Amino acid sequence: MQLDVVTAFFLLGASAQLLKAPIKMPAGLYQSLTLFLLIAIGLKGGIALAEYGNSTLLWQSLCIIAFGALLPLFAFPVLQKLGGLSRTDAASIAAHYGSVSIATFAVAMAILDAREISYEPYFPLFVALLEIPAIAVGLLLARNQTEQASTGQKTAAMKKVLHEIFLNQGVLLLTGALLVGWWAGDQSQKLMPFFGSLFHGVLALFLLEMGRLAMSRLSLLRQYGAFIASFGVVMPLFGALMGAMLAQLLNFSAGGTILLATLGASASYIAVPAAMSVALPKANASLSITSSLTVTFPFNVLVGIPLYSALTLNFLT
Amino acid sequence: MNTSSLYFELAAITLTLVLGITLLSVNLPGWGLITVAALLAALSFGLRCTPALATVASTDAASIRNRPTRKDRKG
Repeated sequence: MQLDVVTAFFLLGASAQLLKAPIKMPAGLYQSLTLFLLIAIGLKGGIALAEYGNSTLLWQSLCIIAFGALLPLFAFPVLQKLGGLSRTDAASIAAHYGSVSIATFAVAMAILDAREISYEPYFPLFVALLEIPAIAVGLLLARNQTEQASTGQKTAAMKKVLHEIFLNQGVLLLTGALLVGWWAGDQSQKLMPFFGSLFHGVLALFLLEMGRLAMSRLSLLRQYGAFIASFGVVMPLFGALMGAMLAQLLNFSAGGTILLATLGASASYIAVPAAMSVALPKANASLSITSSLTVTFPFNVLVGIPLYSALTLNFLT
Repeated sequence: MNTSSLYFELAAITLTLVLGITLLSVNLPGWGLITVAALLAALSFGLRCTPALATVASTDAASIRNRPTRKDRKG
């Protein structure tokens, strides 16, 4: 399967970093690209929701939430028992792998659009839903570590955690844009020349920076060992398999199956780290970000998505 | 690095390699997984060798430091 043009920009950014060539994007621009992608994906999903929303969507949403809560439960024992990680670190990394990566989803969506493979257009709703349950499960798994705090401290910490879970930039913008698109319906088409036509170009720029960021942490893999790299490859394959199976149960189209497999395979590196830094300050944030950003994100973009697409198109349709 | 993590790494390498070869045999994209298997193997082997060399080096340094001096031998 041919390499997609947006993926090529990820490779360009990664190669530049490996060659120590100075491609550096201003921090403000990177932030702006993130905001653009979140709003564009949310709006697109909202418009589709206004058009296709029905009662089966509720049942599908509940299954998706359960899926997001289930993934960390598989990841946690592997990290703790086989990897020998502490309970806090294992719970934190498990939460990252239960949640999703917007960038990985955007790449999968761009590839499906480019190959004209149809998918359920309200999928951004599932992305927003999948962001949250894994964080809650991660905190439950790590609960033994937080029991020592007093009741007052616990309440204050819980408020901060809930704020981070429900009002982090990713969830807020994605859900907000989804609601705006759903409420405005056809009116949102006025915004689409900006958020629709520029989507692939912005994603290419974003991936250029992501390639650089991912490779800039490569040396940390030496510090954390090969186990975390192996986990960063095996867990996406397992998550993708679970996602594809669930998509088949929910009667999704081929494109929908590829997207749910991609969501199951992806790991968060923006929303969950922010929540975990508040909820589990003792967890090693660098370890989980290295695993999700340096191993799992490149794996999904370069190997995973073409693989899930090929397997779905050849065996499940 | 404990034994169970080594088994996990070996299982990950085997899984990606076998999956990659199987995909290639049915004309599907498998080279990516084979490359990943090779990278994981190199990382696992490389990281296990590096501390071993460091241990050997430090043992050598310690043995040199603890080697009896002429003064000790005279005593």
